[in-house]
Amino acid sequence: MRAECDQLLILDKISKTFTTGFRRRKVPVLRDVSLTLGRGEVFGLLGPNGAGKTTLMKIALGLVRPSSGRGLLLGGPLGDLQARERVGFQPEQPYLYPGLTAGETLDLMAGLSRLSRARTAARIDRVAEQCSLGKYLRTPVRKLSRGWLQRLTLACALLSDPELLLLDEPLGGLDPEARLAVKDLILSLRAEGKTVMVSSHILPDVEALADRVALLRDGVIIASGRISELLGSGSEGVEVEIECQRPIQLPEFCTLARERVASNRARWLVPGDDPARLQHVLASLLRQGASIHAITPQRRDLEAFFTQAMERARTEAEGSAWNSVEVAS
Amino acid sequence: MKASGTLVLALGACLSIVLAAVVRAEFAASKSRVRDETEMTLFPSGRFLREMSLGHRHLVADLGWLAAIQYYGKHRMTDRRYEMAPHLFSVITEADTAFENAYLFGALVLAEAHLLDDGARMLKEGVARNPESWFLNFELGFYHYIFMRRWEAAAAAFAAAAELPGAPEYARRFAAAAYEKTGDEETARKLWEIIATQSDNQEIRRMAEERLESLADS
Amino acid sequence: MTIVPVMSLARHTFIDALRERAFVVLGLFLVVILVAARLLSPLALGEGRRVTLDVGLASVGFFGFLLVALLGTRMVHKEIDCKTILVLLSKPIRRSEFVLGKFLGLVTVVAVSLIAMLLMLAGILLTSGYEFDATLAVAGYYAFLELLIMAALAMFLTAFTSPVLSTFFLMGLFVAGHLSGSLIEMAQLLPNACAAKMLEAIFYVLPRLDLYSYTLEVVHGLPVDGGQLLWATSYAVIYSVGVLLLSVLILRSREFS
Ligand SMILES: Nc1ncnc2c1ncn2[C@@H]1O[C@H](COP(=O)(O)OP(=O)(O)OP(=O)(O)O)[C@@H](O)[C@H]1O
Ligand SMILES: [Mg+2]
Repeated sequence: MRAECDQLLILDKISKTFTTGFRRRKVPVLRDVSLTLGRGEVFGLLGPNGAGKTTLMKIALGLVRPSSGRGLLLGGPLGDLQARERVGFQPEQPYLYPGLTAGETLDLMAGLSRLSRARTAARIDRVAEQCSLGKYLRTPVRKLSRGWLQRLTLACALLSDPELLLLDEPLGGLDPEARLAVKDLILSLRAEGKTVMVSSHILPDVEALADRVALLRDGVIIASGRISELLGSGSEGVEVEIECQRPIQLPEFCTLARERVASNRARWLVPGDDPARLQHVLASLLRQGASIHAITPQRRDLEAFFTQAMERARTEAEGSAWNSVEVAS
Repeated sequence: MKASGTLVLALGACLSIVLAAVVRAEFAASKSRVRDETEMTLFPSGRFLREMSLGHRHLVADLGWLAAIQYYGKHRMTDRRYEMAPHLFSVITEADTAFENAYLFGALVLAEAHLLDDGARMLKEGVARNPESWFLNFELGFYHYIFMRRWEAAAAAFAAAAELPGAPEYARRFAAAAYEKTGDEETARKLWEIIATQSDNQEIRRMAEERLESLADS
Repeated sequence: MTIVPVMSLARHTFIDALRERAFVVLGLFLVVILVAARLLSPLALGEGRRVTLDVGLASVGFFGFLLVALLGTRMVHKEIDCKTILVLLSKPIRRSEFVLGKFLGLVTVVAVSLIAMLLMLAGILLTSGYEFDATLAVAGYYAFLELLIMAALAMFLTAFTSPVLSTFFLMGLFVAGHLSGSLIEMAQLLPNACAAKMLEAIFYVLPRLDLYSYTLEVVHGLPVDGGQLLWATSYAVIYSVGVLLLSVLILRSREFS
């Protein structure tokens, strides 16, 4: 039955509404979310706080049941037992037993994953090395700092050497050095052929890691695709920082950056990537007696893209709300 | 698959609870064989309980009372033997010497077990400890009258009850009737006269006069 | 149902519980109570042995219960509240395996602490020069069976209520379980047959914990009844299995978010 397909996770029109409290209040969290995860890719799940990223991962693992929609996890139903043997999950918060040491925690996870004794030892050594946990294996969990706890939960997710990793904010709470290490680790996992889903709201991190991304907003995917496709050519233009004593005239297509660096310094944006045009602007600046301090090419990044996408979604939502009000009245 | 699993679990749970109830009955039976009789002899003495209860002796007596009622109920429905009753009731009445109903109930249970002398002793003990209680005196008389048919003792107890504060009128009537039985008409007449002159109830006065007339006839 | 994850969960639950501070406090408390029994017994007018055994066995049972009530309800609830259950259930483990593993871990904690408490009690009896025999071990075993039932009930309650509520309910069940013997007898005396049947039905579902009191037998050194031992064991095991199955049923229908 279990077809060895290249789609490790398929979600088809998943919706989720929580019912809370005595009043049975309905809280819609996800609406018609569809996505697929191909073998060997790193997928970035993006979205502001409360967008539903964590809920989506829990649905994939069967911890939360979708209100509607279907899905397949490694060819089985969502949260399927055999599928879970091949999945590693790192929760958002480091939930572990405070009384156990890091080593015992890993031992427990190995037991739960049904690893043999010999393999347990080998795997613990391996993940301890991957997450540089070696010197903390004998430390009780309650004495570990947040960052080390985070690395321990990552080690727990990696322990059974799973094909698919669902990492919920794996970079949260880490210092810059550790972030770099974890990013390297994720990339090396991809190199090994593992599939990784990373959720985050820190866009530059995801940009560096992910092949594809999806942007969730209020439980709806408002944009998704390969990063390169989403960002297009990738260049917004070139920024020129100048110092000058008197006002400067430039062609109309140039825009003056709103904020000034200092009273006599300014930044101009030269849009597009036509070298002739840039040359023309620079010559004009020199002619007017400005001294040039820096020339920076402006790449269009995810942050800019998503700010725009969110903005667009917001205005659309407001528009439709307005429409519906009109219909109602 | 999921639904069938749920069904199996639910069935399993129900089955275990039912099976547990069956096994429990066996367990309880085996336990009570050991316990029942031993337990009552182990009922510590009333004095010990009274000292240990640290001022809550009424509570101890109440608990003993509940145990006694259960003991009675259980044996009444089965063998109608109440071997532990004297011990149980003496524990209760020692813990709370003024527990009038305990003396009475104890005596009645003993009477049912054909331990008439024990029952009378229990009531006498109650009277000795509570000489001011018309109720215990009256019940002692009643016990003598009904169960033991000892008219003298009954008449004396009724008369004593009638003299005590709070005693109802009928105590004197019972005394008078008992004295008639003993053949002591002199005393009986005196009692009927008191009733005939003092009762608030016209009907009773009339009845007392009738008794006086019939005594005069004989 | 596979054995490896269950045993692993049980073992680590046990280790985690042993390092709980609540556990240490309970141990201390017991020492205080047992010493008090030792000091009180000369005051008991020649009933010293009896008082020591009564107080000792009663406090062993009660502390065992406290242990289950505090550790048990906290343990499962900590899983759900502190969300360790997310990590566990994302591993290839069934909810039934989760329940059984946790239960066995808790039961091991209970067994170990009961043994420790009984050894303390035996020590006190020995130093006081009071005699006792193998029935004391049977009393310990009965206390264990009683706590087995309580542990299963703790798992059951925490599967759907808050820890405070489940501790309360558990206490209620403990008291009701100890009274149920007398209450059943009373129910049979009720004049209203229908009410009597209903009461009886309720008490058939409640556990009969009063049957597991073995103080009487120990005090009088009564002979151990093998058949009864068997019934006692079967009742505790079957009842616990039923309650655990119900817990699994509830846990399977739950979401963890
Ligand atoms: N059990 C629940 N009952 C009711 N609402 C819930 C429940 N769990 C989650 N939610 C709601 O669902 C929404 C999405 O939550 P979720 O944790 O998936 O967001 P997220 O994208 O992971 O956010 P963050 O970036 O803060 O981690 C939130 O508004 C949250 O309040
Ligand atoms: Mg989240």
